[in-house]
Amino acid sequence: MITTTEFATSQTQESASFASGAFAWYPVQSPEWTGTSTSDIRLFGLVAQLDTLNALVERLRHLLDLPADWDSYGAVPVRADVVQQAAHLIRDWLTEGIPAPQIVPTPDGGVQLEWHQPAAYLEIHLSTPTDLSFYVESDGHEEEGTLATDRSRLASVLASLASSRSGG
Amino acid sequence: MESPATASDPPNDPTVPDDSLVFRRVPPDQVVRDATGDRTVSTAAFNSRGGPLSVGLEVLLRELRHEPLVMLQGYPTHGLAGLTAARVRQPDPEHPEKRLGVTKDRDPDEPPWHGSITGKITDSLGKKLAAGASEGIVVWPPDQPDGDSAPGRAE
Repeated sequence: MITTTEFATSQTQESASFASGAFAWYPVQSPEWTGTSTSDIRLFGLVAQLDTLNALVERLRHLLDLPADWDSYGAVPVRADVVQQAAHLIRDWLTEGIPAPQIVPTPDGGVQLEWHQPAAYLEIHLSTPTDLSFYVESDGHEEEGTLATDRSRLASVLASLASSRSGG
Repeated sequence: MESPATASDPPNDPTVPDDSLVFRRVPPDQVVRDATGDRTVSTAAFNSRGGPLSVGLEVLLRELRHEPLVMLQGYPTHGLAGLTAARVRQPDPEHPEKRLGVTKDRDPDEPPWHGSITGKITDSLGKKLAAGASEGIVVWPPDQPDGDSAPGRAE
């Protein structure tokens, strides 16, 4: 009998393998093989999402606890309003199937969201809740942009991340 | 072949040899996992907030007979990365006008080995600095969480 935690872990590991293309032929564990129903699978998938969400929330909370000079070079504390905006963006993106980013503090009190994928690298920098810039490397090309001027391009890059996750 | 200097080039000190190392402390929160799961220094570690970026210079550390790890005294949770001055000075291949310099910075308020990376660190140049730092890591920050517990790692 597989436990919820074990299943969530296996789902997470499968997602990682799937993103790399190593198991593109094996995206979802079949209910027939495990003795679990399709509804169980959906429930377990939700648990895995919640685990991801919990880890992200913990990470954001941790960033809010960083003191001044956390980087030893005079960084200012991470701004609460930036963290709140990052949380909103990540929540929306997760519901759209976009993979969870890695979250890094920046010395200006902002946060940087990073996706390191085999086919693409994306970083999004929030220095204030409304000041969002991004940098993407894909297929040997580099692009820089801002949400204000390049919203559709950013949406396209995020969609490609979701697509690579689902195998599309 | 080295590009000729122009009036718009950032300050650069030729007495910092190209083959000497430029060190930067790496806080634990700025270490991430790359697409293969390996630790890598985030580009956020090279966010200079528009000004010069503080570094330690091997050429000055040698003069003072200090090991690079002296830079971690008082910062037990940090790591240390080093990359050559040549790598810092290497222009962006797609935009040769975007380049950085390395200078000595003998500020009495700073350690005697203090130097600066000068010029505008664009996202692209920051990515190259972070890649160089990851390759030239001296010591990673201790007590890093393993890969599976790092947020976003699962993706």
